[in-house]
Amino acid sequence: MTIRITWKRVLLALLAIFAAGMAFAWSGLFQVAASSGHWKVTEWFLHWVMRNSVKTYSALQTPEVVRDDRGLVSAAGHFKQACASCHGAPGQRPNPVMQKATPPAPDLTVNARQWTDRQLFWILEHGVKYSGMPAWGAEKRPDEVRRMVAFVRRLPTMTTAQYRALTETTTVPPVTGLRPGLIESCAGCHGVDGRGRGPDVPVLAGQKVAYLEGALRRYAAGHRASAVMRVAAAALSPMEMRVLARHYAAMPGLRDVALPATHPILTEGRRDDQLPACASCHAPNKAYPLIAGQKATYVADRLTHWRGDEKIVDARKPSATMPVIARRIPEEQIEPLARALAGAE
Amino acid sequence: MRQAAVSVGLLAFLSGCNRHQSALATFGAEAEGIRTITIALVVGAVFIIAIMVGIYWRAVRAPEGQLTHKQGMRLVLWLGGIGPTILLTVILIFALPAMRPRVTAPGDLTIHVEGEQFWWRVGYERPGGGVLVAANEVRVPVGRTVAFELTGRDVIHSFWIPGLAGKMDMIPGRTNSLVARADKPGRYRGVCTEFCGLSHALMAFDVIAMEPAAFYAWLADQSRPAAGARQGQGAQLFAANGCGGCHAIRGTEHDARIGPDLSRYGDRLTLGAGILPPTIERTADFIRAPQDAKPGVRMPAYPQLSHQEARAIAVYLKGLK
Repeated sequence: MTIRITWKRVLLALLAIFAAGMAFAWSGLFQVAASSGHWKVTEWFLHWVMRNSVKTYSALQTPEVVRDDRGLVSAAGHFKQACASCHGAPGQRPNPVMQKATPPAPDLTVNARQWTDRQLFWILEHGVKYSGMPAWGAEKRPDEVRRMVAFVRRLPTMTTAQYRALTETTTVPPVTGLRPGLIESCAGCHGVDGRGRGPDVPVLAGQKVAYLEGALRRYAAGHRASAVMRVAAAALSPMEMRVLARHYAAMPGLRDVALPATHPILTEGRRDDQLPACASCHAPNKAYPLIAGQKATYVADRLTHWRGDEKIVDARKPSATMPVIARRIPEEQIEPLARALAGAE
Repeated sequence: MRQAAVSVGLLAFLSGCNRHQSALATFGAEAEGIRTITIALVVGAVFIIAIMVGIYWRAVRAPEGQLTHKQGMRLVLWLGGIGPTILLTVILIFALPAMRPRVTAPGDLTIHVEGEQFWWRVGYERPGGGVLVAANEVRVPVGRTVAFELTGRDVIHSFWIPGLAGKMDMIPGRTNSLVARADKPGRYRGVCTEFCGLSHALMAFDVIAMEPAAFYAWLADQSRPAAGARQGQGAQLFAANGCGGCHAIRGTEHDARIGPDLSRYGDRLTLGAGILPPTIERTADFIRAPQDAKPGVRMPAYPQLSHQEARAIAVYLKGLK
């Protein structure tokens, strides 16, 4: 007996297959248990899809520069807080509980070699669906992702001592009003003296209390974009934010002094570019943070970040105060300006 | 029903008519001259069209053989050649005087206006020397010759007070002169008529024509610092937030010349260069998010100010009279 294939029969067969699939899904017989893992073939297929996707999209969706080796301290500190429990770190095995996930997070001290910088950037920025890998904790902070790429790149060859040197500092005197371990965690990047342990970490010592406290609050709420500081600030109570702000503000460091005339933009601005002087807002009795003596690398990075992408049309560029001001600073003046500011104390 | 719909539709054509900003509602001698020419041309054109229709009517209705070729050629000669030549010559002679700029004498008022994205920097030459800086508002004495010295700072703008005179471009690096005389006191409006960026359509200014005595009293009074320029929470917030980095207020340490002069903000009739009522609430909103009112505005936003702080600054500015 032969069955004649007609359009009607094909359609009915497809409908039957779909109905059977839905019935299977509805029955709950499909196991979502992580304990059983995947079949070998499923695992291969899923990873194959993931690798292809990363290869394709990392070529399409990444900026020109994807790695920044100048400052590793903030990336290392963030890795320790946010990544190490799943991925492990030099001298630290991944949390065994997290290793029971399907799929388990790869041990980056081994696995980081498999990816190019560009692919790492894409994975860090966007995360990976269905795998538990989250996207970067703040939007539009490619500078943070670039530093993390540089850090992850070094993981396979990093010794425990090197990792410790990046993430830990000498003994930190305890601060009253903070739970144990908190100030040590802050000092891992910001240093015992509040001056920051790398060129990517700003000087907090001597900064205004209200500014520091407000910054912590804005980081925690996500109003100020930074994955690194959001993770650090989200766990703080309002009281701890105040104690920390006072702690760093009380340290000797930045001073509330008039900006020196070491660069014309600091004290005069550029009228033809509609650029007001830095000292219009950053001076004694003004409402804005102290910047005299801040690190040149940090200042230049912030200004460059605020300038944003030159290719975006004006109407879509951010209109907040500093992005607007930073866009009026001639690009070649950013480095000299930051250096002049750093020398000012 | 259909008639009603048609009349409502026709009403839309009248929407451009108002007495503040219209080349038909004039308050100055130059605009009056332009209006006279316009009316003469329109009336003349209607008359000529009526003659044309009459001739056409006659040509179509005339029985065959009644019109000769010779008559036709004569018509072409007179109505197509000699007539228009005479008519156009008359119109030229009639319109030529409007092209001659009004003669200025020493001692006539000079007002410098600089177009910027998207506002107007105004400077009045004082009779005793010096320049009084103001913004987004032009005051003129009636019955007096006024010379506007016009330039642009960033891109090309165009200065047009429809009720006073014709348009004049404001070109960066060049000063164009426009001389005019206002004849009727009142409040009017001028606009930018050269596309200059995102908020081109939101770049206007108030024009106030005043009796000469009142005008010169106003000009003298403007040089005095506003009362309360240094007092109150608003003054303190204005200073602490660096507003003086771009704006100037006479009688205080704020003397920057990047943004509009705010010395007499309390006297202004509009906010944001002729676009919003200058109420305390609108002013506070403008300080926190100027781009909401004017896309592409050069002033940065101050979202870090609380609503109450922005309001305190607005109260201070409104008090500058």
